[in-house]
Amino acid sequence: MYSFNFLFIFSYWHVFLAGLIVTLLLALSTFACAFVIAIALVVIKKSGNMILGKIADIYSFVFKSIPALVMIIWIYYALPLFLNVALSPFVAALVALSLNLSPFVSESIISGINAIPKGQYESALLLGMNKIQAMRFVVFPQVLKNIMPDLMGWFVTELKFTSLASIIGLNELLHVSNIIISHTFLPFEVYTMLALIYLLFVGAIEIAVKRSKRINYKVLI
Amino acid sequence: MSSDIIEIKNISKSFGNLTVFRNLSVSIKRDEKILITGPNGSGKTTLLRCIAALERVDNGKIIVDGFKINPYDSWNNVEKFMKKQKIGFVFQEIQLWPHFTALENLTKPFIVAKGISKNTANKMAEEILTIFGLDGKKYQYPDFLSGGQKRRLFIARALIMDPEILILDEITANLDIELKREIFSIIRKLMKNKTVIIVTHDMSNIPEFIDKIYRLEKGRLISLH
Ligand SMILES: Nc1ncnc2c1ncn2[C@@H]1O[C@H](COP(=O)(O)OP(=O)(O)O)[C@@H](O)[C@H]1O
Ligand SMILES: [Mg+2]
Repeated sequence: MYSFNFLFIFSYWHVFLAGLIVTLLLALSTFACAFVIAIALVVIKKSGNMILGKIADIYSFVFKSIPALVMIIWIYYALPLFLNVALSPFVAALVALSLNLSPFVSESIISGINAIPKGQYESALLLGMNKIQAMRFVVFPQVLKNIMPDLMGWFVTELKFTSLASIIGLNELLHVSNIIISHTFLPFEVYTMLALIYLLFVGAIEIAVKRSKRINYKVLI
Repeated sequence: MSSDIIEIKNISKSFGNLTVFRNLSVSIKRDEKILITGPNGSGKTTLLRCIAALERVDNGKIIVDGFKINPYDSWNNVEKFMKKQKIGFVFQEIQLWPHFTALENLTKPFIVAKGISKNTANKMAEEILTIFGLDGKKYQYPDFLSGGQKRRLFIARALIMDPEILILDEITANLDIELKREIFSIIRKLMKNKTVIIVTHDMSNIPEFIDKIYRLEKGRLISLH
């Protein structure tokens, strides 16, 4: 009979904390990079430039098709072979996950923009606003409201995807958990702790998503 | 000649291979109140959008109060035209800005486009809200207004800049008689010194202030009286 020993693993709290910090840092920086790339993709697609638009489409197709885990492994192990640069596990995971996430974020943003009727923008122009003012005061706060639940959903996905980086030895939550297990031989307790930590953070974000639906983004303009 | 505020000369407009109108011409005199009718899909909205420079014609020209928008004008020129605030356009579909209160829907254009102070803008907007019977609703968001209140607020917003030309596209469609009367009585009060173009396919009650009626059909505009 397996006897539980949760108290013992609490003495490893600082190791969990270190892993958690890496996980959050990776999730946040990945999300920030993916968002910047996504904005570029949106601008390109909305600009109507045929050639750039095609390139953006190919980019999206490629990085949506390759599994995140394969991307991480490829960038960490294969890319250095002909680029002659060794990337740290963190940077490799950051690059792989950003490339992987960006097409999805750009699609969310585009559908958020397309959901705003043309007349919202046109009426602003007719009332004397220029294009930039119309975008800023009329379109942007509405787009933000439309896409916020989606964006938070992508952040949750990203938070979970960071665990894939354990495969290249990044000291994020899953990897440090495995290390703790190799010291304590308590897989049940450690993995349960790990699951609970994810549950706590994802739960917090879910609450934030519900709250976000009530935000009026005019406060940002 | 100069009494015409809108001159439309031989304009053509197509969407792909759908020709909406070909060689359409009409002149509208300053302060004239005209009504345009015609079946659904005959191009009434498109004609209004061309006049307001929201849509570009393929051929011909439209001159609004001396300002000419050419078929292939740069955006700069269109923007200059819009900045002049000649036209108040009430769309067929209500387009209130949902993230702004009723009051803000009226004041934002003032504050943003004209740089008028918030206090002054509020005062002007409150006057208009009162005229439209919406003084109790100024802090309400559009989603919380009734259909008739939204309609009135939307018309109020088109009038806020005191445009010389007021364009009303099917604004009484689906409204009950009571509300129709109420809306037209407000418009009647505010339309002095304005050119008014009303589009409707409902000919059952034509406001008595109308000077001329046109019918748009098969790409041509026919004068009915
Ligand atoms: N942006 C557009 N693209 C393609 N077709 C359009 C567009 N706008 C209007 N149309 C078409 O042009 C015709 C006239 O439309 P519209 O001006 O809205 O008619 P009305 O207002 O008289 O009902 C319709 O057949 C409509 O489908
Ligand atoms: Mg129409």
